[in-house]
Amino acid sequence: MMQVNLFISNFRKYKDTIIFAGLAVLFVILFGATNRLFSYFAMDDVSSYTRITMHELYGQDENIDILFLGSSHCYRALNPEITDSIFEENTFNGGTSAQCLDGSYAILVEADKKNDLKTVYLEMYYGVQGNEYKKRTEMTSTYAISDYMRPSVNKFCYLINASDKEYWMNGFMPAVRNRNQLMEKGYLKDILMKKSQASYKNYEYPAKNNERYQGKGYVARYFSIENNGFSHEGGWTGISEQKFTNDDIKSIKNIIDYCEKHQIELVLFVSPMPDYLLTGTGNYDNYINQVEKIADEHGIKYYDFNLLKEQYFPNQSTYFADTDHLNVYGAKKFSELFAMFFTGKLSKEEMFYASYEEKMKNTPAQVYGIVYDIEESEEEKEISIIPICNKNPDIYCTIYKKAYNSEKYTEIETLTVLQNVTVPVDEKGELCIYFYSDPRGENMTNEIHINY
Amino acid sequence: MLFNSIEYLIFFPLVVLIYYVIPKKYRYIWLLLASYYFYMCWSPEYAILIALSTVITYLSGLGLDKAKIPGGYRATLAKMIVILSCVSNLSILFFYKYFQWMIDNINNIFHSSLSIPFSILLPVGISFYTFQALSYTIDVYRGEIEAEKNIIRYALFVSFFPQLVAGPIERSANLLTQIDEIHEKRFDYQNVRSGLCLMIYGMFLKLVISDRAAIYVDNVFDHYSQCGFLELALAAVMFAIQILCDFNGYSTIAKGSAKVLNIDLMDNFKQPYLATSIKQFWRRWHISLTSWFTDYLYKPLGGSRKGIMRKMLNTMIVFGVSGLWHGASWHYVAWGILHGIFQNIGTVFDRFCNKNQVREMTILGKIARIVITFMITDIAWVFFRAESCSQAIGFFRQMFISFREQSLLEFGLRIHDWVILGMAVALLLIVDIMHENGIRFREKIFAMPIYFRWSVYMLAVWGVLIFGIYGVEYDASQFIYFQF
Repeated sequence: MMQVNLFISNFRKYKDTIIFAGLAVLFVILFGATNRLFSYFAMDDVSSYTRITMHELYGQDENIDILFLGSSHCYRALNPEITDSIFEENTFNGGTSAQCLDGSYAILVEADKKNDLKTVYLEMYYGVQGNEYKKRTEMTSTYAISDYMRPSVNKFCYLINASDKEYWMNGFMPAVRNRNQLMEKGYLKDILMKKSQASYKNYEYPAKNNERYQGKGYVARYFSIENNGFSHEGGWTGISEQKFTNDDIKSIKNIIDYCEKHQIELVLFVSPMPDYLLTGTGNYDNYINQVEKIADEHGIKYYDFNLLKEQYFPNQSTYFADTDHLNVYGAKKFSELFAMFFTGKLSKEEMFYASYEEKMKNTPAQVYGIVYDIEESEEEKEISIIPICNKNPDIYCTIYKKAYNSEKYTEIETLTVLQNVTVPVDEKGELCIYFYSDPRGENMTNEIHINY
Repeated sequence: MLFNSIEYLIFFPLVVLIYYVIPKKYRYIWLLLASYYFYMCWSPEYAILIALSTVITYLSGLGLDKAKIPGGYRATLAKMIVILSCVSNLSILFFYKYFQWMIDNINNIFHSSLSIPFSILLPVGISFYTFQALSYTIDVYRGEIEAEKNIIRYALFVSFFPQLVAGPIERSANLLTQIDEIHEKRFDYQNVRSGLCLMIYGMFLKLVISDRAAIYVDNVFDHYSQCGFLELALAAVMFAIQILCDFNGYSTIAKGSAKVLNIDLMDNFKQPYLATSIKQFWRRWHISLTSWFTDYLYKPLGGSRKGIMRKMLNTMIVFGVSGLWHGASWHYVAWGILHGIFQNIGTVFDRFCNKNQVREMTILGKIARIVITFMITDIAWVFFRAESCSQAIGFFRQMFISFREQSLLEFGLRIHDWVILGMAVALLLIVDIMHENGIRFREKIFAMPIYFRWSVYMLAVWGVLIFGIYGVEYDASQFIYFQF
């Protein structure tokens, strides 16, 4: 009886505190619910792959044995439909657009919650380095993951560490981030219409030109660069100028430690990129050495599939959809090769060169494509064209131009050495550049189209 | 640390939680630590100035206590103490706020090139806490309060974080008394609820109205020479709204924050734009500063006791000093002097009305006076907002020589911003009219059924989150009064 009285008197004493604590909890719950509601309206994610990938990741009935992580170089390169059959295990592609190493860690932890992961293949395309999380201003790739992560400590830590505090609210509350969009005329009506469609509700990716979500995180592109027609406006940041930052290293260590702790095998790899890109951006061996150093320090394996010999993966432009990514044909070829290699059906010594320099030495001289710049003066536009090549091949070039308002191409250079092209400043059109390896113009090596 | 920052969103709940969890006898120590941390987030080194001001005024309080004799003070000693306290505090204020300005003026007048070999940064809130500390010394001297013996409690009075950097300038009779009783106060749900609601309302004023209006105002003032009458007139009106919502927003958040901690701060605003005269405006605008000047400057100068001419002179002095208090620049002084002139014209007008026994105002008459008073204050606000007197004069000149119209969408606000601004100002006006008629908006909401009440809370929070101007997408602005 005394205890009951004591309880009652204590309750009376702390009545206000208890009521307030209860109401505070209720407020947090209601706030969370309204946050989800507003976010639903504020997020135009009808064309998001990650939404579907994360939905599938959480909803896999079968245990995921093998997880691929990385950026678009991962989710456009490895098709689980192919790797499943060769590995004879359930594989899943957890790649997301511009995924950085902290994003890879966050997805790894999420995937491991419901699955007994055996192996993680972490794609280490050179774009993963150079991040200083507190200085980030472009957060799209972070939100692409966090928006579809379920509420958890992992999500909380990911968002807190991914940026400076100024961005925290945007991360936790997508409605706040996209609030200006909410106020645009016709937006709400449009988004509600799109989201009420069955394809959205069923997590189906809307049919897009040349692109298809093919399940388990893989996105196929049905587009090829023909005739070594690679081109790029402006310069690139040289790979050799980049370094892994402390933040990058910390995230790699987090991944390594997590895998060690949970007895998951971790393998680092880089999927094939066009030699056009690797030659154009600088000293690729420098990057390989940096990753090798990390891998060696932690006793993990690292394979760079850009060092593949020609007979295993011909570096032809038709395997690529753009200057960076494999297309559906390249991905098919690579997925098979990847799975066969890691199931021991192919040997490392046979398949790989020791360095990119060695690969280039053993590759015939050729032009991979061009980089170009357009400089405008008052009267004309000067288009400077620089060929990207591995050695110094003989180049004979013919250039045609076609203004948008004209119907046919005009030849402006014929089988000559490459030189700058000038066009009237107010003219807009297309240049068509043909490279030949002989002065007679019989062996065409490249057909490149650029807009000016 | 700004009230509208993520830091405060973390700092404040932590302070409140620990405040209510620790033993009550340690609360004031905790609040003092929190207050110094809050201030040091801006400029750690300038916390020394608050500490210095605290020590000087605390010791002066003790000194005055010692100088007490039955029936009064040892007059010379007491006066010496008060003078010493005032001079030392005002010297610090002068050095940091006015020294550079004085040098610039000397250089301008005598075409000299004097310079200070180091740069002086204005410590945030120095005018506020200096005045608050000074009022303590004077109040002790006047025997209105007892000297505080506990230096930690006194230090908290000077540095209490919700009102430290932009007021309200509290009186010891109100705040120090509450701090003395802090260990007796229990968690009060009603106060916490009221405080949180005040904080949300303050955020609404600052983020939804003030910072949105600021986009237009800043654009027009930066390019006033390219604008016409309508844009300029609208910018002047918008600045009046901006500064009200900025400063009142800060004061409301400060009041709300303190209320959550079970401390009541004084009201700093009372629907100032519903004033029917300039005199009334100053009873409603920045009340804590007006009453400070009234008690510690206007009345000692003789107030209205020495005839109409002396009253008018005293008014001019007070408003001139008030202008200077706002900033070391002539356009602030001009703003103050303009208000002094308006006030004196009002005094003459009132005497004329009293003599002729003008009848009580009709509703229409009242509205007309409100509008006229608003327009007069708005003219003065242009001097306040401008970067110099010549810019303010140029602004008015441009107003009457250029009548070209530009689209309002050319000044940074989009259509939906104008709609939101219009609706938010309408809401502000409704709340102010309700308050003017004695209807407390908050009390009305608290009296509603729980589902309605909670819907309002949620809508209010989300209204501020969705319609507020803040975050990385915008260049988050500070509170205007921080610079004073």
